[in-house]
Amino acid sequence: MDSELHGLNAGSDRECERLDYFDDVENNRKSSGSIPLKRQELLKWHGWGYKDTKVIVTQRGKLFITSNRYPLVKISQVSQKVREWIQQVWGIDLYEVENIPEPPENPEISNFPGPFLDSEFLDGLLTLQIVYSTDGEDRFFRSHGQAMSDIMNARQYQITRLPDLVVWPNSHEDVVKIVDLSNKCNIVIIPFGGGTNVTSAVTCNPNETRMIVSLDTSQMNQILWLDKRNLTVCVQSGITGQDLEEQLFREGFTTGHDPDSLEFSSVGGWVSTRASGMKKNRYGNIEDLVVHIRFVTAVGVLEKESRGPRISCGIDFNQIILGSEGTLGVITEVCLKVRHLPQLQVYASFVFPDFETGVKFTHDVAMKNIQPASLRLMDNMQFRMGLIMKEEQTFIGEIVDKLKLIALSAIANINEDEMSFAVAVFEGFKDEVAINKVKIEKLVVKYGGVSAGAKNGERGYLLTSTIGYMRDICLNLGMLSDSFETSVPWDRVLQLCQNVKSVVAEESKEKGLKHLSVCCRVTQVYDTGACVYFYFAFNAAGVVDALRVYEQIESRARDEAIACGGNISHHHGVGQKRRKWVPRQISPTAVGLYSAIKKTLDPNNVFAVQNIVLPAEITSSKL
Amino acid sequence: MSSNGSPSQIAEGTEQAEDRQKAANAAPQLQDVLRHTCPSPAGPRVLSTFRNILDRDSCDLVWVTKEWRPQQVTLHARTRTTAKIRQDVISSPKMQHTIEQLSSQNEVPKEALWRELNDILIEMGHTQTMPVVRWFGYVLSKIMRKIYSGVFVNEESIARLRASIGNNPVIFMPSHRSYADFLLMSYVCFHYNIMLPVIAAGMDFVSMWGVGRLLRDSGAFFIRRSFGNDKLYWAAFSEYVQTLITAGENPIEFFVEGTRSRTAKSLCPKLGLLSVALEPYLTGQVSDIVVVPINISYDRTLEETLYSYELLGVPKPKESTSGLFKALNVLDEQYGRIHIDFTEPISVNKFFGDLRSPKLMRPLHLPHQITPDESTRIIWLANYVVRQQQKNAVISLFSLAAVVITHHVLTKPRNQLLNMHQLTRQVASLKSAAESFGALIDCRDNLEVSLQNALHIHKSLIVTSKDGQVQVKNVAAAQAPIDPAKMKGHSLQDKTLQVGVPMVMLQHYVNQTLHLFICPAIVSLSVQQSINQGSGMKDDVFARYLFLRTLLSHEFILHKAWETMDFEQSIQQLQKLGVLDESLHDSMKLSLGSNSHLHQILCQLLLPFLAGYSSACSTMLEVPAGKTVSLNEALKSTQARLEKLLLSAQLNHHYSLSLDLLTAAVNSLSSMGAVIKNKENGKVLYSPNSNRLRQVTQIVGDFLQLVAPICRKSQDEQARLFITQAKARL
Repeated sequence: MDSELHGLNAGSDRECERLDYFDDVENNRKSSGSIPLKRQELLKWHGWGYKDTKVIVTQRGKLFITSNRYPLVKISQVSQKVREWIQQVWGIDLYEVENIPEPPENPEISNFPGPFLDSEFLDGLLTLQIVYSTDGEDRFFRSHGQAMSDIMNARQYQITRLPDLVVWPNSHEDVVKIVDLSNKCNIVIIPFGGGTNVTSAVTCNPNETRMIVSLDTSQMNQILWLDKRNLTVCVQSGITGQDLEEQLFREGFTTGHDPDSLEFSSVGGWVSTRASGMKKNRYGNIEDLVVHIRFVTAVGVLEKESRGPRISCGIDFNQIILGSEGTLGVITEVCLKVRHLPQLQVYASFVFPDFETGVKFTHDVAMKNIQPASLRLMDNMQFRMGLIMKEEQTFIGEIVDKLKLIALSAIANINEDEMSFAVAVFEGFKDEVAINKVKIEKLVVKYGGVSAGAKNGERGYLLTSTIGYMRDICLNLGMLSDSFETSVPWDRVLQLCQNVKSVVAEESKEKGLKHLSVCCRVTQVYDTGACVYFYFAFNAAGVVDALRVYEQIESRARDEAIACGGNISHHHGVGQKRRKWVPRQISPTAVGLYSAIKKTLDPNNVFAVQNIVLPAEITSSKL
Repeated sequence: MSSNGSPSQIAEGTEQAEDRQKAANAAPQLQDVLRHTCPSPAGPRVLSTFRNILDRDSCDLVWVTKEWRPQQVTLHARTRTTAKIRQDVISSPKMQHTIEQLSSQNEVPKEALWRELNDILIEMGHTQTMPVVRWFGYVLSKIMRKIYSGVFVNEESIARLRASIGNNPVIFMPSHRSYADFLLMSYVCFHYNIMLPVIAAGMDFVSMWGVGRLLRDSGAFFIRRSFGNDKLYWAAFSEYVQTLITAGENPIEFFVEGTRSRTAKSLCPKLGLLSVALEPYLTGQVSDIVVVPINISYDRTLEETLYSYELLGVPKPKESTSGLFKALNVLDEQYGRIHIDFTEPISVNKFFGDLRSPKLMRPLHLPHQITPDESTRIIWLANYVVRQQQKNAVISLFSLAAVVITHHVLTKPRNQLLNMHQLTRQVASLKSAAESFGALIDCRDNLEVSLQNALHIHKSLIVTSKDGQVQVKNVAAAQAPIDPAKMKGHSLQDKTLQVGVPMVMLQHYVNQTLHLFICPAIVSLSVQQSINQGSGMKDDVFARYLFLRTLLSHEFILHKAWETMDFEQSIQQLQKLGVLDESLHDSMKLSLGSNSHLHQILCQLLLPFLAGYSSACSTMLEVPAGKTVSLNEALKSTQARLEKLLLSAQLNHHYSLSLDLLTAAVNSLSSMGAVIKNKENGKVLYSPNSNRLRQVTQIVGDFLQLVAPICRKSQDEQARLFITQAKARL
């Protein structure tokens, strides 16, 4: 306890000193990023997103969001029907859940272990005049990502090892210096961007004997330049998607990269995890958008001497940066493609008789190569889960809704308990959008679907941004819930969905779970296959060691997804959560290759965050 | 003997020895899987969990018209119409691909192939309709009430089944002893509100007017018995089965033994349909398949006489509706009880330890190529299924009585008749032996009463006179004369048939117990021979055991992977029963115990098999070098040889004449490398591999010497032990 306080005090002293310096720099900045140096001022410690934003359930199933950040879904009313259904599925009555216990606003400081500090490194940092902190809260905030297990562990202070120090470089040069210093002092660096990973990708190795530094790129948040003629933008890696898009918007541009975590995730994070954006059909995934990367490794900077649109010069080493997950170095600057803002953006939504016809429709969209900017298909259960967040209906509205349902079942032979729900975004010039829309609508009719309007489509997308908040209220209610994703060839999409659901149901039965839900959606439509997302939740009341039960079931589900022709991840990455599948997924030869790269680029293992491959496999590799 | 090499070496070619090694290597690992997958039930099975479903509160009419809300098989199941299923098969990627290929290979227009496919599917497809099922259920109830004294279902096993249904496709694999199996399974499922199975049936029913349609409407689909190289048919058939699996709307049911076992012994499992049904799992189209082995035990088999003739080579009448009506005279007889037990459901995924790999996955339109690993496990699973069926049998007291009676007929002088008192005593001791081998014996009252009831059901075969003498009845006398030209095997003499038919019928019931006794019998005989030759060492016994086991592996379910386990278990059981001496401290040396009577009975059980196999060996030895014989020729001349032996009192068990037994013998010799199987112009021909065959013949002969009965009787003398049909009527 003593040492902890001592460490804390010591940290605070130094920190104040450094923060003065920070303010000086701040004056010279063009714009400040939306993520402050002290994340805790803006963000929650016990869950997803902004401190001011949470979902609150009040009497008789009224749900509302406490901030104005998500206006379209601010207030919703759980209908009687949904209430009964949820009661049946989850064993929770949403009309009777007042005063849900909630973690305190600030974490209990006394729960943080003190830092282990290397004086040579600290002296080095002082000389370099780079801002750092050893404050417990700062370190705690960077000790985990956003996976459900991370949050559960954070809430229970089960994280045994925190980074010992947080450092905020401002530039590529700062990073080079920090990495050099760390390499010299034998210090561990864990790069930290937006903190939205769901793979335990920043978790410290509890057995690490060296000092661990969390390198927070959040202050490297500048657009370095925008080249309107060559349609490229060069940014520092710590800029968040939201900041980048806002600034580009003002100039009439967009990258079009739109992951669900856009508000918080950083460009560096996208690159290092091979992220995917919602509108990849129009703009491509991150690997399609990247033009140039500066990558600081322990043995030097890796970058190309070319900004040309394409290069054939042997192996493309950008590909070892993409997906390196912080294990090989730090991404400092990224040059991305941009496009002019679309003339028009239109949402749409459709219902289909069931999930199978929905899948056939999306498949046909791919066959005909008429993908809108984005197209997603929810299965029935996911659709119904979405109804939890439904606007409150006026009396008239309710009647209209009922009539709509009757009409649906009578005319289109679609019933509420079977139907699937698709949402789409069209982007481009007016005529382009119009043509695309007509083609899609024709196809919808071919598969027995019906249009369900633009507003439902927009709500569908907006709900995605609130899923993190919903996850947290579920946790408060005693529901463990998380998502996992995969990608799979078209001919196996439907079977994979069915099989994973069967396996989850079967495992849950074996584990004696009574109240659970597993649902899925197709979120990306490729020519050759699709990305499928699963949401699994169960009521943990009375379940012993619920977190482990969750992980066992998820692990079985992932085994099944792989066995059915899927893979370990479409865009979340490996992190420390999914390492056990890697050798089988990419072949032992590839693991050997990775190990060789790792040993070459990082001989002292500065980047000792143990993502992607189990440490033992690196050591045993003969390459 | 020593010059011939050790029996176990002779039992196997090198290849087979390697296979065995492989299986043995895989064994511990899979054993673990098995133990994990299939925990043995908490307590021993008891009769009290069996409930007679004919004995119900509601009358039949109310029962068949009850609301039909069966338990769903899978989460995603949707009921499809016959037309939709056909459509799904036709539009499946695999079918489309096959048609394209066949069209370009054989230069046939696709339209013609589509038409052909459509016809195949119409011929194959089931058309399950509830009104027919209900109506049929009503009629069945009436019939069953008349001929059976009860259909007993293990309700604990039903509860266990229910608990494992709901997420994954289900395959029912019942044992197959009678045509009644088809109907019984659906009947039971209807009773317990379990989704009715869709049943794979042989094409022979379709031609029966009305019956084909009736079975179709009850959920049977029909597969041709042989379709050789017909690629279109093969694709249609496998896609049909697979769409049933992947859609998971109904359980699918088929008989892993492939056909009705005429002998009442389990047949070696057939792998074709099982492999096809498992393909959706192997290719990741379903996450798991639940396989449920089911045992159906009959006190008395409807087809008992028919089977007996068939086994001796008298041709089976073609299935026809008029034949069926003729068979209706069975309705005047009593057939006792039926016991049905759904054994522990097997998760294929756990059983296989998940071998699936996307690396091996090909696009769905290409047929899956089964890997050697998968194939090993499929064989294992198939054998395991049959063993589970056996383990969960309910053995009737009559089967035990049949063992005792046969033993008596073979070993005692003709003037010494078996009386009821002796029978009861011997059945009692055999019962306790069987129970120690894990059998559940249907003995509800005290033994004497139960035994009398059991004998009463079989009064057409066994008669008990007023003074308590038990005699076999000569059933053959009442049959119409047999046209020798129609004999499938050797044209047996009338007097051979007169003793043969009842003896084979009796053996039908003896066979029902053999899965219990076979390993202990082999071990007992091996111990005796080893001791006679001055060894008795466990290794030596094991080698002899291995030879017999390999020899009989086409006769009984003796999967290689279990050979050590079975051996050790048998020794333990035999020691407990006093057949082997337990007291000796040298654990490596075995010796016989005090229970010589049981030892003798056990060894005697092997007699008809060893005798038949020995004759088959001699027949094959006589084939001149460079010449070949067809299976049929081999069977005929072996039967002829056996008949001579029977007539001259060198042999007195007529079951050796069984064509099934002799076929198994030839197959076994072929897998042991003692005869060589050649294919010429699509015909299978056999030629002897003289050296090895001589060795095998010698060893089989040595074993046969040991079991040959003490008291030899000629066939005529034996016949006098029987009372004829006519006499019985008086």
